[in-house]
This record gives sequence, C-alpha cells and structure tokens, in this order.
Amino acid sequence: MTNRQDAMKNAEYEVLLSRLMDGDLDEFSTQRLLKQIEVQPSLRTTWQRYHISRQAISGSGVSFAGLSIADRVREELEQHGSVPVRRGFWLQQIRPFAVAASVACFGVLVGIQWQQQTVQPVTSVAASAVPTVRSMPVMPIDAAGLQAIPASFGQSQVLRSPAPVPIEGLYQELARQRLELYSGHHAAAGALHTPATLMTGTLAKAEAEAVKR
Amino acid sequence: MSFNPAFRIVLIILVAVLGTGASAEPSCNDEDLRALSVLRKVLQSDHSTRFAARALVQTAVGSQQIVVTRGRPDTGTTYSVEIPDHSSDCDNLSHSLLASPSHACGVAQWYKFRMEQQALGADTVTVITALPKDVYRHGYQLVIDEKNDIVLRSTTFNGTNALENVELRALSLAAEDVPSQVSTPERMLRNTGNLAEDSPRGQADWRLGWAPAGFQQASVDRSEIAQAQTYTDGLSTFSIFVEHPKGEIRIGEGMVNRGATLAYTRGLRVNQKSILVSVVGEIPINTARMLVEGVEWDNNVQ
Amino acid sequence: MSGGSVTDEEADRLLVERAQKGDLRAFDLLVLKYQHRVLSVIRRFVKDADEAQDVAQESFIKAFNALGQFRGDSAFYTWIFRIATNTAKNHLVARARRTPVVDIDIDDAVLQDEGEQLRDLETPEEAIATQELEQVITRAVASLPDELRTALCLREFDGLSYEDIAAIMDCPIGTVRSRIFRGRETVDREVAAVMNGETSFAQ
Repeated sequence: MTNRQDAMKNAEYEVLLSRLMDGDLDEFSTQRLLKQIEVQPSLRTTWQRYHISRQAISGSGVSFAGLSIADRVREELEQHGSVPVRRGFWLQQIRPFAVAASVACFGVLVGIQWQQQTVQPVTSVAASAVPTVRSMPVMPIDAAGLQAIPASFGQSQVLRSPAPVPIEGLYQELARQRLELYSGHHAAAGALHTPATLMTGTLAKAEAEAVKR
Repeated sequence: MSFNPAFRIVLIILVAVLGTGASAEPSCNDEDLRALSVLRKVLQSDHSTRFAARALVQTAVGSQQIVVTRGRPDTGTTYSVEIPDHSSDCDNLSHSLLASPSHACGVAQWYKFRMEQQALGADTVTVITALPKDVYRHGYQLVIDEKNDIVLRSTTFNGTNALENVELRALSLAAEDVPSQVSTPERMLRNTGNLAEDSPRGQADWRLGWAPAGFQQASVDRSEIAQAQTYTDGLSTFSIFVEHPKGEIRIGEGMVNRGATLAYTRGLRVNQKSILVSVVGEIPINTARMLVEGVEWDNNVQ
Repeated sequence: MSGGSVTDEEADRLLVERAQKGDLRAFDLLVLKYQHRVLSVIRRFVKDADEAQDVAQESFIKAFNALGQFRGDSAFYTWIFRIATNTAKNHLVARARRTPVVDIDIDDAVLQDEGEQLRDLETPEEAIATQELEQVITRAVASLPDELRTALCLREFDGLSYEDIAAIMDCPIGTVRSRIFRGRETVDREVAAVMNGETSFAQ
C-alpha cells in the first residue's frame, strides 16, 4: 500500500475513533476499529489524545499524571486476565452531564458577540491558567520569608497575579477578564478616592494602562 | 522598616470585640474622630511632598517590587507607578464622606478605628487601623507619615488574614516641596450622571436593591457594552457592571481576586434574557454575591 | 441515536458490551478514557503518587474481573468509581492509615475538577508541560475555522448529540460528523506535537 493509501486508511480509522467517542458508531464498525487497533497501536494513542483534548475543552483540566495506567492494566490483563461472564442486560439510564466549563469554547453556544477589546487574546488567556486551589488563598499578616521579586525595568506590565478560586471554570475566566477590563474604571471611579484603597487603586490604574499599551 | 502587624491586629480585634461586645457601636469616640481627621488630611493634602520609593506589593500568591512615585516624572528607564493627586478632587463622594459627613461619626459608623503612634527611627509614624463593624467589608491598616502625608504601608485584611500589603521602602523625598501636579484619574467609561438623556437602550434598567450600610452611589457610567455604578462608604468601594450579551449564555458565577481587589461575575437570566453582572471592588466575596442577588431589574430589561 | 445530550453512558455502551465478552481492546479504550478520573478520585485517599497509581491499576483489574456483574444499572464510570474508592479504602486499611473523615459523594466525584487533584501528583516538569498542553489546546481550538470550532465545542463542551448540533448549525448530520472530526484532528496535531516533545512554547 502506498503512503497515500496508508494515510487515507489511517484517517478513516481516526474518523471511527471520533465517532466512537460520541456514541455514533455501530457494532460492526466498532469491531472493525478494535481489530485495527491491534495492528495499528497509534490509534490507541490517538484515542487517548482525543480524550485529553476533550477534558481540556470541557474544562475538566488535563494532567500528565497517570498516563501510563492503561499500559500497565493492559499488560497485566494480557498476562493474567480472565474473560468476564456477562450476566443481565444493559439498562439505559440518563444521567445528568457533569456541567463543566471551557475557556476555549466560551461564546460558541448561540454566538455571544463581544467587542474586540473585551476578548483577551488566546495567548494571554492561556497564560493566566494558573493552577487552581480549593480554598481562598490567604496570607498571614506576619508573612515572613517572602522573597522580593525585583521590578522588571522596562516591562510595561505590573502584575499582581490573580489567585483564582474556582466556582466554575468558565465564569472564573470571565471574572478574570472583567477584572482586567474594569479594574481601571473602578480604580478611577472608586478605589483611588479613599485613603484605604489608594494604593490598591493606583496599582490597578497602572495595570489597566499597561494592558492598554 | 519592619512591624509586627499580625500581633497588633489580633490584639486590636480582641480589644474591639471585648470592649464593645458583639453588637456594632452606634456611636463613635474621640479616637475614631482623630483617626478620621488624619485620613482626611492625607487624602486632601494641598501640599504633596514629592517622593520615589520601592514598593513591596505582597498578596497571597506572591510579592513584587515596583517603583512608586508622587510628583516625579517617569524617567523612562524604570517602571513607576504615579500616585494620582486628589487635593483638588473636592466633589468626590468618598472625600465628602470622610471630610463632611452628614452624620457626626461619618465613616466611623461602619468602622472602629484604632490609632497609635510608633517610632520609626528618628521619626514617628501614625498607625491607623479600621476594623469593619460588619462582615460586609474589609479592614484596613495604614501606616502614615503625617509630616509628609505619605501612606508608608497599606494593608487590606479580612479577619486576621492580609489580602494585600503595599509597603514603601527606600523612600527618597524631593529636596523641596513643589505644588502638586493635578492628575485627574481617567475613567474608562463615560460618566452619565443623567441617564434620562440617553437612548432608551442605554437607560438603566436595573438598580441596586441592597448594599451594606453606609455605601452610597458615587458615580454612574456606561460604555457600549456595560452600565456601571460605583459605590463607596468612604473607605471601601465597589463597582457593578451590567452587560447585555447578544444571545444566550450559560448561567453561572465565577470569581478571581487580585490582592485586595475582587472580581465576581455572574450570568443570569432575567425576563428570559441573558445578563452578565460583574462586581469589582475591595469587598468580601459574600458581599459581592449579595449585591448581585439584590439587583432589581426593570420588567422591560432589553 | 437519541437527540439531546450524549452521555458517557451511551457512548460507552458498545465498548462495555464488548469488554464484557472478554474483549481486552475494548476495555483498554475504556481505561484510557477514564484513567485520569479514577486516579483523581483515588488521590483523595492515597496521597503517595506511586501508591495512587498502583491502586488505580488494581481498581481497573478488579473492574475487568467483575464486568460480568455489571448490569448497566448505573453508568460505567459510576461503577468504576465505586470500585476505585473501595479499593483505595482497603488499601489504606491494609496500610493501617486513617481514611479521610469525609467520604466523597458520588455526585461530587463526578463534578470535581479532576485536573486539579492530579496536579498535586505532577512533578514540576509535568506541571509545566500540563500548562503548556492546556495552552496549546486552547489556542488550537480558538484557531479553528468557525464551523469546526462551533461543532467541536457543542459536542465537547455542551455534550450535544449530532442530531442537535445538526439542527443548531442547520446542516446534515454527516457534515456535523465531518466537522467534529476535522476539528479534533486539527487540535490533535498540536497535542501530538506537545506529547511527542516536538514543540517549544516560548512566547
């Protein structure tokens, strides 16, 4: 078979993988696909990657930890596995989907139109994807041992890294965008005008202007 | 300069609780009024000592140093943050609440103030702590150089946890005082004090149904994408932004905090229309949530 | 296929049936699909990274051997989750360690952000790689042509069926199928490059 034919055949099976992910495959095609996976192990890796992408898009988060578990399970079953005896029958039961959120997919559902300046470039959105923490991060007042980070002279940004507290991933990202979008206005209209929040407002104003630049 | 604010604040909180009992004080005392007097002076000083300093900005996720200046131009080679001047900002509501409150106690209705003098080398600084009397706002501690009207250290805290700490170090003062440069902070949104003049689409179709005691509306603004209202109690501030996205959005809520500043965003369905409400301010998350839940919508929300 | 959302349960049905007949390849695909979630659940009980992976492996082996008893009363993942939690607890008991005071309600387990738990297991290098991977995926999705991006997001994010997506996008189901695949394929090229270490992501 030529390379072109190989590529076409490979693509054909990848289509089947894609449909299998979505429950769109019939039994015969499923069997055909499983048979092909035996002789084309790359399909297995593609399946794994498709699900990694799905996790990321759906907002579940991805991780490199645990990628080898399937290999170990397969190895052990091939050496020692037994054929399970099937009893009973399949009962369809509709369960609610776990509602997750996705930055990449925000705005797709029935077309939200945001003005250009309100939509952060993908690079900056992705760059702010800091690991999330469950509890509100707090810093004891007597915070000994904090290392001073020298100012980056010449850089245009003042960064006080946001500490995300996940309520829902998509809305967390929306909140982050709104913070960037509106903190300058809030500073000008409010925070700059009280002695308690003067410094907070000053920093926010500077950050907002840096983002604009 | 180093302090031990943790111990101090815990002590102050204990004294406040034990001294006043569980319920909020209906009145204020001399200490409150003296503290307010110092704060007014700092904010509205008509002589501003020029200075430059390295500021250590500490938040829960880390710290950073930046250069902070007042009255000194950006040299271009270093990044500096200029503190705006407020000496001529007489009609700002926050200033009014501090300077000319309608109630004798002013801001002290909502905060218990503690004031003490501390030695700092050969000088003396004033440490003012504002403890909130309810759970709807943060507390603040300011270390003030009264002679030069400089806030040397500004801490925003909630309970005994600091949310943000900005401390000036390596302060260098200008050789002589010069008249401060007027620098009016620029708002991003257009100020629409009279919304009746706007198009029907732009008229406010919502109002704040609840806010913590003492907060008053400071401004109303709008842009192409949002209507905004800012509120202040004289020390704390928050702004609410209402957007009407085209199309439907999934309902939900999310929050991030950057130092002392919180951004809380909530997607709602009102009269079968999607609305995005955001609160940005130096307030606790539960206050932000309650603000959004208390928004009253007109029936003709578009 | 019914309209509305497509649950994992429906998507897994054929694979589970084949696995119940002893098809290791089908079970392998299920393990590949769920290994992260199972590990994440186990991680709540077993803090040690290596031990957690061992327990995850043991859980899947147990699940395969017990497949004959799975009657489809619940979703396959729910069933695996129960096996995993029991295996984890037994592991801790065997190690004479205290189990967490608060048990995990299954709905909480389904809804948790599994990525977050797993990040605790990652080495610093893996953590950086994970962040880069997420960035790459986000960028790749955002760069897709509108119709591919819409189809893919309606499927992955909203869990809509091909029929519903076809109705929303006003196109035949075959077109939906093709768009979703082309979207996945495009994103997958970027993911493959990351996982094969072929790309650097200095910005």
